[in-house]
Amino acid sequence: MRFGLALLALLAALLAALQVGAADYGLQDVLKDETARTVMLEIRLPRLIVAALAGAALSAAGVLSQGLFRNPLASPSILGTEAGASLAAAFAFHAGLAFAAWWTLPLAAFGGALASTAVLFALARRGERNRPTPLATLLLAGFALNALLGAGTSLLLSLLLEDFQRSSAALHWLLGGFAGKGAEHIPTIALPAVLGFALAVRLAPRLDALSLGEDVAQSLAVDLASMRRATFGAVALLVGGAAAVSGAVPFVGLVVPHLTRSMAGPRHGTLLVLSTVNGATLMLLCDLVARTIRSPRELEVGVITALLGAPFFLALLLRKDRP
Amino acid sequence: MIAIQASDLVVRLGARAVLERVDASFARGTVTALVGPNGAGKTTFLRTLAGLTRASAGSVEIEGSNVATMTAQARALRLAWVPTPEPPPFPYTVLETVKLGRFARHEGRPRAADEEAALRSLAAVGLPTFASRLVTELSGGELARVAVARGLAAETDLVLLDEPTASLDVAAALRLLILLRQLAAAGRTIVLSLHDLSVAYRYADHVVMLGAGRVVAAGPPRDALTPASLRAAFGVSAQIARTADGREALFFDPE
Repeated sequence: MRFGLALLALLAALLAALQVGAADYGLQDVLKDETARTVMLEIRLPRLIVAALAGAALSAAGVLSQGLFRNPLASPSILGTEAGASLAAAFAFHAGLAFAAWWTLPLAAFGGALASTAVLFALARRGERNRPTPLATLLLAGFALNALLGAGTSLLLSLLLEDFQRSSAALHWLLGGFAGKGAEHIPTIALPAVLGFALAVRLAPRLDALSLGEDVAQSLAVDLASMRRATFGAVALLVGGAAAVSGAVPFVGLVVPHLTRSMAGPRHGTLLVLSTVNGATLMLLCDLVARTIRSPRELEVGVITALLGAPFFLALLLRKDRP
Repeated sequence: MIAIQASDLVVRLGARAVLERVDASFARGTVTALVGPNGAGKTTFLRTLAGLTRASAGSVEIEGSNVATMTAQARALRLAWVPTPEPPPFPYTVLETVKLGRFARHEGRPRAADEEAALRSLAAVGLPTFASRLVTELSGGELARVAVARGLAAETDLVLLDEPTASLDVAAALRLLILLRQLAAAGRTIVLSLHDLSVAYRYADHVVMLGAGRVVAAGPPRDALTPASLRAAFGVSAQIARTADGREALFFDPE
């Protein structure tokens, strides 16, 4: 039922997104016009698939981050996971690796996401072995890591500025969004997303047990160390794949699991599946807004998700502080 | 029959020795109260019994098998661990939470038997109508009882509880101790840490008193909780008084 509703919403978002575009064609033209068909199937649809996959992957990563940190405010953009992916990707542009093969950029982004998640986890858990990470520690560690990684990315980009070709490719990527994304980008994001999602589904029951506390989970025969490694790996695959294609798109991984929890409950299995669908829907809608609000020019989708997500985050923080 | 036994147990956390050559055994079908001043090592001792903290030397054996070399699965089927509860991060229902106590059996796919066991334990801790409440909306005392229900739902022979009465009012605390006594009478072995020495005196079959990481007294409450041992461990002056109906109670004064 809930799943059906979520799928219906996704379908509606997809149709709405297909309807609108730079060329003046709509779905009603598909049957009678060859060009309309080409525009729909070869330009709009592939881009929408990329956007939907990115939203799905970031949302699934959000579910995993929140489960691992046992904190509903943890998410890839707040913890610095996306920033880690961005820094590694900027390095790939700087070193010229990004142009070597289609998989070098996602691989770099994956490595960056993995390293930053592991570093943040180590920072946040210092001296707090058996307690959930206090919110303040988590957010401050994420803030510091984000700032550091962002500075690294800026440094690499400023070093790149003399090389016009590389720097414009890097900048274009870094601004994020799905402009100009097409069928050739689908494998880059789909492959890590599917792997990450498969891993996440297997982890879901153990994340439920972990919600009782690390100690209790361990006493229930959950192998914390291996579970943690697998979760880092899954988050890095999901965020790395998405970041490699669309750059950092903030707040999706925070907002979607949160909204979905209120309709699906907290169990990680259901939450993961529904968040994945809802994430795709939300990203399609944000992308639609980004494409239409200043038509014929496009905004970066990250601007829209930030405008939506940052106030949402603040509202959550304020609600959490209330006694 | 000994259900769980610690022999010559040494636990170091960093450079500090938290437990020093602790020997203690816990008989099947009894309630043992672990008492001692703050920082005496009660929680560390319980965690080591549960196999969660590794002993630097010595061993913990459950009916002859070493806890450190058991598989996590085997251990989870033998003992349940109930730490003092922390605020739950996500709004699971009480029933979902209690069912998670049987995670080692169902691995995330609870069956009808798991649900029945969870409902039985909820009834046992006096929360039969709480199944569909959200854990994020419970009071501290209710949360503590849900944690106990979760431990009981595992249906293990051994239940280890860290200060389960800490956030309970006097009536709820007494009901919990009576429940634990009933479980012991049915053959389970209960070890719990307690700060309330009067409660330990009255409800435990056996008391182990820790002081600075060592066992300073052990035995039936009357033998372990004596004015001399209490003065040595806590630095208080204790008296035992007899009530009109013939029961004994502990009273404390600062030294």
